Amino acid sequence: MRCREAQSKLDRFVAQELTSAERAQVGAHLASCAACRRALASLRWLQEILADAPAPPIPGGFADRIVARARTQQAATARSNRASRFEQSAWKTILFSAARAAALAAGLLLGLLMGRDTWRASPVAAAQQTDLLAAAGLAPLAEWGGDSLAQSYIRLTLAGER
Amino acid sequence: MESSLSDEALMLAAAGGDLAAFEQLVLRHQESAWRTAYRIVGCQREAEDLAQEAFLRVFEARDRYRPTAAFRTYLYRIVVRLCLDHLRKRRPLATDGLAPVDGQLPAEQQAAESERAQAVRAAIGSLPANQRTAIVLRYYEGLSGRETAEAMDSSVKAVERLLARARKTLEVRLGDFFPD
Repeated sequence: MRCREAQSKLDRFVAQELTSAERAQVGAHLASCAACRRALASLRWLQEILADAPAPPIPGGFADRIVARARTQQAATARSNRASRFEQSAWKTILFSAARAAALAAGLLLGLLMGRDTWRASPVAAAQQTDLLAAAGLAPLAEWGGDSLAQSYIRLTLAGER
Repeated sequence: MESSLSDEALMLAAAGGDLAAFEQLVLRHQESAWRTAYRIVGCQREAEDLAQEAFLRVFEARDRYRPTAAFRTYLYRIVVRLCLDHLRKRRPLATDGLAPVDGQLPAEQQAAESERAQAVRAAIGSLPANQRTAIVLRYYEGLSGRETAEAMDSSVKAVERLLARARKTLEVRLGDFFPD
């Protein structure tokens, strides 16, 4: 073992953290190397004076300040989670209502288109057009002379009731 | 009231929303976190900010915490990372004045201790940040070689080399105090 390797292991040698094989190698090297023995003595001295070096006392109220900040953070997170849940719920309601309205509109449109086509295909229906509207109390629609989808739908519906 | 639960159990309780468990962790580890930060950055005000930040990072990450390593090592790793990031961004180390010495010592011995404490602080402060961190964790905080390596996100061999280089520098700078 070289001095450099032995000296890098002195620290763990002193702390008894080396494997038995490593410890034996370092021990054998120390027995034959005065420079490394001096490094070992120096390490022990250094550990001693570092252990004696004081640190300033911890600032008063240190833990209280940390816990207060953690409490604030926890409350903010809880508020944020509640707001997020509410927002998600509001969006769900909006989307559900919009989807329902779209489905109703699509159904109505489909019904109107189908009704118009059926109406136009029926020769009898054209003849009955005025009578049906008049019977339903919607005579003014017949006077418009138009052929709107709404008119067709109403006519078809009334014809079905008869 | 002091809890008998392990650090890891307290951390899991904190993850479940128990703020008192987190407070116990702070009380248990505040001194080591503060001392470590102070000895790495050399300034009380900055050390307080950094140590507080470390605990708040622990709190923020409580839901993701897994007790695969000792909580103590986990906390040291956060403190070290914050301190080294802080040192990379700031001007060269400006150490505080002398720390208070034991008032019970005779005046002559107190003066000698004070001179030595000052010399030690200056010598430690002159080391590169990673060597100083290794010295602080290993010799001041008493972490094992493996724990020091884990706290520094490094290998045991790399820490051995850092410590050996730091010791050589300190031996030269503190040579006047070495007993003949």
